[in-house]
Amino acid sequence: MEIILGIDLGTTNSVVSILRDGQVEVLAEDGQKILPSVVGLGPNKELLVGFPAQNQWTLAPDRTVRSIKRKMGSDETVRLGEQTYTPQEISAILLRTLKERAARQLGEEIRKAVITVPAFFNEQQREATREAGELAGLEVVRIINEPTAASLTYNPSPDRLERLLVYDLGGGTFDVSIVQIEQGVVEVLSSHGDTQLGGDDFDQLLLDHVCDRFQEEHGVDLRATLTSKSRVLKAVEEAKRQLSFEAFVAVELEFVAEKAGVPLHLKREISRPEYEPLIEPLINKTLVCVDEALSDAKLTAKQIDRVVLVGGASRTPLVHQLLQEQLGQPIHAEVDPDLCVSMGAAIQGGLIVGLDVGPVLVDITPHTLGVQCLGDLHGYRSSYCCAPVIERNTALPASRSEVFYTAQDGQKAAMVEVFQGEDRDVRHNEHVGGFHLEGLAETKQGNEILVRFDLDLDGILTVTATEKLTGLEKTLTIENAMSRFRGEHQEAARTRLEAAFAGDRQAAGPLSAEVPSAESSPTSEVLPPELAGAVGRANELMSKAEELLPGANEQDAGEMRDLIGRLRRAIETRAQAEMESALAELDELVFYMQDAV
Amino acid sequence: MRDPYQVLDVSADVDDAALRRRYLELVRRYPPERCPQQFAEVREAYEQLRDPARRLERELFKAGGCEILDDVIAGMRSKLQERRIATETLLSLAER
Amino acid sequence: MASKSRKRAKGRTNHDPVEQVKRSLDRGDYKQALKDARVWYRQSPGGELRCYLEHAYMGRLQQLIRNGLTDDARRIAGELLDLGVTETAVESILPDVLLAVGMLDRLPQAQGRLTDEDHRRLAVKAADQAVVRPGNTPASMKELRGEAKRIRAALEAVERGDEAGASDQLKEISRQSVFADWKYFIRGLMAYYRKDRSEMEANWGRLAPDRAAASIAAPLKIMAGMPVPEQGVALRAKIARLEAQAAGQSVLSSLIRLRQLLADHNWAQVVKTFRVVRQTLRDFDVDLYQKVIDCLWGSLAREGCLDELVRFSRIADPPALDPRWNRAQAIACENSEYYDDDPRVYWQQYLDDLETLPWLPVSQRNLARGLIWLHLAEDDLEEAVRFRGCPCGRDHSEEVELAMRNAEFCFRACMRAAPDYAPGYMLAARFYREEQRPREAAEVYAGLLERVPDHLDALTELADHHVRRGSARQALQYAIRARDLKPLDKATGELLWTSQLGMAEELGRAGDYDQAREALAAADSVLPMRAADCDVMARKAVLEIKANNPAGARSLVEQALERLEEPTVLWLAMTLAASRYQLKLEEVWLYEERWREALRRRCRSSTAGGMCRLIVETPPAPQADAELSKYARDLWGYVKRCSRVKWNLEDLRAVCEFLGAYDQWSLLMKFVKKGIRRFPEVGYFHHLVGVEEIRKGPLRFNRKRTIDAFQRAILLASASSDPRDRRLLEEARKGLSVVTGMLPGVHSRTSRNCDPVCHWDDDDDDEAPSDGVPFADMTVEAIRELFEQTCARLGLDPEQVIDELNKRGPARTGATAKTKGLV
Repeated sequence: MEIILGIDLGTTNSVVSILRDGQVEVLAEDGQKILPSVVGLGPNKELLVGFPAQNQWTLAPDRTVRSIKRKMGSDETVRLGEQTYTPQEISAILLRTLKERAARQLGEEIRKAVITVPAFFNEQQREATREAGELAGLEVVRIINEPTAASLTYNPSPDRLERLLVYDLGGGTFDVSIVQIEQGVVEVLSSHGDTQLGGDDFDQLLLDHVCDRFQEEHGVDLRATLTSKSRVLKAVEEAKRQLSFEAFVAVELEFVAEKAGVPLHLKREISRPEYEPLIEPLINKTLVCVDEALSDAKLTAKQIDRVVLVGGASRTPLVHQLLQEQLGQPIHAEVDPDLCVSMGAAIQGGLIVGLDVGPVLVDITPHTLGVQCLGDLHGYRSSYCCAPVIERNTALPASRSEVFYTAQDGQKAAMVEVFQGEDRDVRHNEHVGGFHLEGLAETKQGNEILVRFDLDLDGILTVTATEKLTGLEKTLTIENAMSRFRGEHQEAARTRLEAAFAGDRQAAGPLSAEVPSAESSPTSEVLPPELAGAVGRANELMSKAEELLPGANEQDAGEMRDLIGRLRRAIETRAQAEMESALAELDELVFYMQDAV
Repeated sequence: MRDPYQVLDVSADVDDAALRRRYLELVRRYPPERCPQQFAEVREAYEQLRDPARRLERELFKAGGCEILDDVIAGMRSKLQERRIATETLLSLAER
Repeated sequence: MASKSRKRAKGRTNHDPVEQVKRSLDRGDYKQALKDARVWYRQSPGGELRCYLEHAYMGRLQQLIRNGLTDDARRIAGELLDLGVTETAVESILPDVLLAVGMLDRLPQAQGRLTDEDHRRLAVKAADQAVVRPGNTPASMKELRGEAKRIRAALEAVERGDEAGASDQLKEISRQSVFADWKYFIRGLMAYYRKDRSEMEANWGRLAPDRAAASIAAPLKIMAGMPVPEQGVALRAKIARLEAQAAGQSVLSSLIRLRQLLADHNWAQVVKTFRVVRQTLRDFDVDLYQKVIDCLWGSLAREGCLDELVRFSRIADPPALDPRWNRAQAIACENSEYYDDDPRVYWQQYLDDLETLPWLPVSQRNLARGLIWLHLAEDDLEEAVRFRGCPCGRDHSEEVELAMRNAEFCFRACMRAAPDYAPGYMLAARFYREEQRPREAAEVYAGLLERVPDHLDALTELADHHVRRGSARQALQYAIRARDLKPLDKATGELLWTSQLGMAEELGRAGDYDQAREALAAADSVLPMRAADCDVMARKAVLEIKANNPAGARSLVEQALERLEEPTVLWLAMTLAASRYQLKLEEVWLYEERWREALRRRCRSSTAGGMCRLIVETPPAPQADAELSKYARDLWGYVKRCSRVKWNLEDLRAVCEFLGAYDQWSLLMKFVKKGIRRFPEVGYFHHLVGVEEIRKGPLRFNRKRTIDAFQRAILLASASSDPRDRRLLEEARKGLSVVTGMLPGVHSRTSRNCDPVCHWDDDDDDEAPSDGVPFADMTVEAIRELFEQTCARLGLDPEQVIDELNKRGPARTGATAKTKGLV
């Protein structure tokens, strides 16, 4: 049976699991189940991933990248040594490390993966994640939501309806989902969250707290230099973790700074009562989300059977305490908050290949998708109205249509602009794509235009606009980040990634932009892009044609051989016109010979 | 859009519990992973019927229009398209 | 026979035989022409007559082919070939004719004049014929017959559904073969059955347009709903034939006709056509018949065609939900443009119908009746709105009142008919609230709670209602239930807290001190972070005073003072609490005196903030309202003095909220400026700048400044973790939308030559024309510019005009009303 990796690509830690003989297995290496989501360049410019990178971070923060997940979907890039990388590329390095870990453990290469994302990730962030997978050489068969994945590992009672509240507070993101399990069907009723809130923010608050006190005492700001800042940050991270179990912890760092030639040491005791007020506003923010998720699901706290905690930061005692108080019921922590997301992803992978390993999953889209139109906005007529087509919390896959009308007599074209978000004004929402439907019939205003949204399980949206009168139709598939990135850009990124890993294996190879491509084609000449494109298509077509040859009748086979010969000659002589014409003919012949079924 | 009762294969006087049972049964039969098309249809039909008041309100005040006929026509076309045409009939169409 | 002919021919002897044949030919009487020509030619072969004989043969031959008399045609063709063809015109069509009769193999070898093009054409035709009419292909043309046989076998395989078999047959057809066209056709046909449109298009798009396969594909394309350039009569006939073969009759054609009539709004014809086809439809499929009826009555009702609907109802079976067509007629009346058509009559009758509708379960029947009543109530409300907004100038108060009375009646009827339908109650309650009848609204909520005990909105509304009325005991009871349902909700928590405080007051006033203390403790447990607030401490202290426990009171006051920099806030709190707990007036005055005394001191951030918070946040007890505004005035004086205070953020915020609540905008803006300077990272102050700008109205406000302010507020609020900033974010976004909403061109995505689609709200329908005021499409700047130009032309000072307008116009009740009026 085919194996699909289940990957939790977290802000702080990443985990990979598989489903083997009906059992979920977290793949560990050197006894470590988690891979810190840290990428760095070692002293000899070798690539470091995971613990080694994390270890060198305090020493070389400028050569180390952490928490890249918080930048996913943005245009921001990060520096690593002399090179800049997109967030996708850094994530791809992590994914590829996990993929190689799986290959070592299983003795074969696994190419397919289910990757999890926060439920509240938007289209761009999801696409960036998918792209990171592609860069890492993975076929991302599905992107699923983290709380949903976690709920798949929960073992429900078979004969009773159960409602779970999955509270997922990770390193950098927060999600809450209300999940209903009944007769083998797991339905997500609602999701809420904040993609910029997590344990990292706790660290930051604690860091500021410690540094402020230190500054008051010594007049030195420890945040001013990168190394001392990262040392303190590492210390407070550890302190935060300990504060989950102890009432007091000491933060001690020697020679953390210098003042007038005198070395300064940091020595501070932090108590829970001191720490908790710092983070309470953030936790309260999550509670607002919890409340909204409950409202969306039309449920009250009483109707929740179980609270499931996911994500490292959910271990914080204050989270337990406040949730328990607010929901009025005990909090359970029987699933492992660090591993369950990846395990759920592996289960989902099993469901995809058709194993009967778990319940049927019905997930939702947490954001509304709509079309810009003319209408009433806060009591004013405005052309920036957002008319929802697929409302948030709609089950996936979903298809919805909405009828719109032209605003003026004789209107020749209509624009269909698609936005994601809850605001009634499109300008406060995320623009995800759009097109013009041109060539409308010459009629009065009120010409009906049907706009249809098809949102598939991966959140890929297809928009179709049809003029009812004439059947004039236009379709657009929105895969935002992809289209922006595809093509040569992606090729370059992949090469760079290859180079980075090559350097890793040789342990000394420099990582730089001018990596000599060892396996470049025998003719090292550079083709002009058009010709290169034609050659690419020709090669693809010829291999297809050759597959068809054995089953072909004599005449067709003869014609095909002739055409292939022509094409080969044209490629050799770089005769583009001849190549194009032979290409077109061969294309036609291949179409003719293919079986329709 | 097809008639939701037909999609779920339930009668018009189905009670809430039976409707829910039927929906879950169909979801298990057509998981979104493997049968996205059928699932979407089942889900949409269920959404239409799950709130009895909304269901009734729709039926009371909704004056259907051309879209019903468009559906019927499309349905008939689709049904006709499924029937195999005898080769002789087909070839007789060649005459101008 | 020959003699007979001759006799007849002889009857016309005076005519030239050539002339006679020619005339027959011209008439198209080829049979006669051939007869005559044959006879004459036999008598005197050669010359002109031979030419006419050949023509006569050919004419007759073509005629026979057209009439399908193939055997006769073959005989005649044989004769012609025996005779030999010399005429060029005849020679050129000979191959096609021979092809048609299946004698292509006998085409004279001497036909060397055929061009390559002709050969190709002939081959193609022969191939098509070999498929369509295999009997007409001479046995000698083995190759042709062989390939044609494959094509037919493939077609038959498709008919059986054996696609693999069909593909096997087609494998041997090479692309150079004249039968390649058929391969495309058959693959397209498989796609047709599979409903794979793109595959169908790809294959059928490659068909040669003048070949047999293309003309078979055309009607199929239409069946599949694909566009076909020209649709002649012949094509329609083919579709009907296809449909008849598949379905036994041509139902689809009638439906398409009905659809066309609907699209043309030809209602009378719609009804007539339905009369013609109804039986066929019903026989074909009852379900489909019902759907067509639904579509037709719906369309007629939507268009308000009452007369046609009545005519239609006589010939159609009624829908299950509407046995006497009353509902349909009611909806038709609602959409009719004639005022006389009153939907209420029909709705009333429909309500009666519903009572007896046998197949609908009782609960559904009641719900349906409730929904109708609600529908009527909304209709009444709309009527009232219409009368209120009527521009005619006459007094409509009587009509409005009548409509409102009717609406009330309908709401009550709805609740009676469908007592379990919560939205009915909610709408009724909203009606009463908007009518300023809170008592009735509360009754409605209470009624709802009897049926649906866990209705959160009803619980909170009732709690709120009783808090306002000062009946804390009832408020508390509802607030507790609401809190149980939604423990996370802040608003519900505050409601419960307020109710507990009110309860304590009530108990305290009644002398039930222990229970009052318990109530205060309960309030503390609801909002523990408020337990040490001045307000709460003061209440506790006053309670102890009332309970004659001065020591306890003193200790509480001391505790409270410990947390304060100076006692001013506490004295205000004590004053307020004392009057709430109805201490003796002298005692109230005592605290008030202390407070005024303390007010004179140097201003402090914490004192100003604390007092403002008290005044703004303290739930107003009904009897304390007048006093509150008295204290507010003094507080205002204090705040005004606070010019050189080192502000704490929360205090400054509280001061701003106080000034906003009491509409003191000019003073407020001074504090906002301070706020921005001292706390540039707080969105709240920026937001207030925007709000203030909008208040100035469209002619005065500074657009750039407003946009900047809101944008900054949005940016800061979205980065903040303060829960209040969530609300602020919404408000600021709304503000930004309002300011920039009507400005085409601001947004890069709006292009002028491409209008946005308009989302049509049903309700908007009637109002659409009124949006045609000339300002509707102008930017605020453009309006201002126009205004200033006009003023200049008239020699007026724009500022003065605005002042004058502001004096005269409706009071400056806020930006919204003003902006809307202009734009």
